[in-house]
Amino acid sequence: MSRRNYIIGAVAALVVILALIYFYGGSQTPTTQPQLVRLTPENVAQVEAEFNAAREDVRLLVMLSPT
Amino acid sequence: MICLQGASATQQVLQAFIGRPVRVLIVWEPVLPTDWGAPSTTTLKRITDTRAAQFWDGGRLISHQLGEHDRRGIVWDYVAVYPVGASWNQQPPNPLYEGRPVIQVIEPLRNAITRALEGQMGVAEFAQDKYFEGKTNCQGRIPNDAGQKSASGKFEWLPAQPFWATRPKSSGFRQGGSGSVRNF
Repeated sequence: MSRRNYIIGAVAALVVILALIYFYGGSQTPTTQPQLVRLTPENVAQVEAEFNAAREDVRLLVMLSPT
Repeated sequence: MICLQGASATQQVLQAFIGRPVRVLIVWEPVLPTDWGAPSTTTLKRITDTRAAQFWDGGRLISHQLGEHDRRGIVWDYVAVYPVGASWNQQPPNPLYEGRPVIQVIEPLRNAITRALEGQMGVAEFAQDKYFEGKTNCQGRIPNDAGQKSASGKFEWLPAQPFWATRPKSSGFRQGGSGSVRNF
């Protein structure tokens, strides 16, 4: 393998590693927020509870894809 | 990535309402082929507002509660505003405002929050809302007569095709923002 190919391969690998870290490197919410809740059929009512607990507030529901 | 821009844009909108009684529920869900798992720390930090709670909905349970029946009906890149006093009983209540994709409805979203905080989402404003006319909401319902009251004095909603089902395939799922405002 030529030196040029080696450099290209190394850069590509670095980009992939950084992308993996960026998109899949742990799931820590900001320290001022509650921990990320992983919803299951058993605990999905937690969203409803959070929503209703803030009945005195205007509430936003935002649905997003993580990538 | 447009979805992530929507997250950042949501954070910017929230900064305009610091100190106001606003609560935010962020639901991350797998939609794209790259959505292998829960959002990363970097992604979660796009929403730094202390009034936010974030969820990973791997089974799209909330999307189903909002009306998802098949792949085409996934509710995502979506934002809804709910008024003070509304309750979630088994399924979410009717929102005052809803729109998507998030990045393209920032201005109407900001307006809707402002009016919700001021308690001004009355019939008169509802009738004049420029974002309302000709729009459908996420559950595929449209007003029976844009800007006009029904005989009962309230706006009624009629079944219609969801807006994502009517989009041209070539235009992609993410193009063109739309939103609607409801009388509550």
